[in-house]
Amino acid sequence: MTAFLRIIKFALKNFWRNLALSIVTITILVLVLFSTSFLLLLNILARTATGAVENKIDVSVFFEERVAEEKVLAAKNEWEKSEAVKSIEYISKDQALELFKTKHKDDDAIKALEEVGRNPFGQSLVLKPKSPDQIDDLEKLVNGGDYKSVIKQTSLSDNRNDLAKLKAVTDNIHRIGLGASIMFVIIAVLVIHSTIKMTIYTQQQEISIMRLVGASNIFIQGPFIVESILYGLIASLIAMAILFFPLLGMVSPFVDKFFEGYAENIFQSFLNNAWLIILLQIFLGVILSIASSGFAIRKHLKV
Amino acid sequence: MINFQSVSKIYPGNITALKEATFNIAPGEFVSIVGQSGSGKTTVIRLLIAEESPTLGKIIIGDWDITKIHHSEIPILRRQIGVIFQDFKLLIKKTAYENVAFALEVSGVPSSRIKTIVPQVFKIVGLEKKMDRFPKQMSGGEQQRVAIARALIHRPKILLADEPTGNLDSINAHEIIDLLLKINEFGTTVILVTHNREIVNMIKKRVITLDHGHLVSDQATGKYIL
Repeated sequence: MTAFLRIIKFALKNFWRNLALSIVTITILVLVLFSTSFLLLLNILARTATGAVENKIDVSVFFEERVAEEKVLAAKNEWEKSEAVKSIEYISKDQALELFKTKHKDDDAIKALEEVGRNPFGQSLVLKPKSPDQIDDLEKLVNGGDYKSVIKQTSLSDNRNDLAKLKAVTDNIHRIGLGASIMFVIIAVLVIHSTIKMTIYTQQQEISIMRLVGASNIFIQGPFIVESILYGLIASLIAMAILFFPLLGMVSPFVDKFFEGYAENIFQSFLNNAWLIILLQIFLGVILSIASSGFAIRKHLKV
Repeated sequence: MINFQSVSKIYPGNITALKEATFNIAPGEFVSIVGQSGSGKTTVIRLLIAEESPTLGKIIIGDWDITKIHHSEIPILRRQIGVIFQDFKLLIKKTAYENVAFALEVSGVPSSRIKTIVPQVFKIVGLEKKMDRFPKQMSGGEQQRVAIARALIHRPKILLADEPTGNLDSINAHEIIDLLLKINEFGTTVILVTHNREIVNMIKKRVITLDHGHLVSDQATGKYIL
């Protein structure tokens, strides 16, 4: 315990002695963590958005009013066997009426319904495809089978164009983000390496005396490793703070507008995945720091 | 205690620093290793603290063949061998006390023990009243005493002194030699590496003479002969 605390003390001393270098190192690390976290967040958001768009692709089949429930359910059972079908939702006459009432509670359509004096809605089935590309198969399935004569109308809700556009935009952002992250990682490795190398050179006399008086290797190398861990931890805290408040506050409205109707609020997304992002940042920050300082120690610090 | 068996050290470029040196140093001995610059004196020190390994031959300290020493064992060896140098090698931003305590701190010794041991060692070197001074506030002789205090802090069995009087005036040099003799009287083996003729002749102890890496003389009560 004494040894551990002393290594931390020496590391803090190194940190303060080279404060300017420490600040530069932390700044670069913040950029790395920031860009990678933002990339991760964007991925989560894009996945949610594309999922939401995919979910909106379906075929609604409206049956004639006189058709018996058994026949509609038989159609449902048969169609469910198809490879292209992900799920089928059955909407009864009463449910259709309720849905209509809820949707038109504030307009005149509800009065027209009262004029009719009965439930004019037929039963319907909503078929969702396993993948967006199978929407055509679903259309063929319902229109080409035995139930064609009892189907009043089919309605296709095809958002494939929106999906393609969304995917193209998020793919581009992803590519740019990945490129920036890789570039920052390379810069960070070089900067941390140089910082630890400089620290080793400025501590040369102290290190030679440590060796002379029989300091164990962990005492000689430990402070430099702890120093680099410190860089990683501080950088992840700063990156988190920047991501959390100023940046999300500024960017959130624009991103939300882009994903409007498809995904939840970006700030909410961030909150929901906060632990994942914090862990990723700390892990990445510390691992990057240890790896880069490890190279410097191996190369420049003879024990 | 220390046994050099046909030890040679050849540096790249075929530069021979030491050639088949064989000698034995008994526990509690005071030995001066003398010779001109480039004679191989400092190489002997470097080999003894495992800063270098011999090209040929064997070095035994106690029962320990340090030519086969594992990397992780080097700190243990160095805690058993105190070393002082001509340039003192003190940290100028630390006080005399902190310089000596540093040697214990980096060996993982608890703070409470450091507070007990350090003043005791300062008493041995006669600097108990100057522990809080920085190196720049001390004379050369006093700085060398601080270095000796640091070298003694692990209670080593061997004390290596590499030109300890090289930067000192005659009075301070004599005081340092007296201190080394006193330490030797307590049972510590002292190896003094020097080219100071007057000092060697004054000590009247064993003298090993090196010349161009060759051991040319080993006198039980010797003089500086080169």
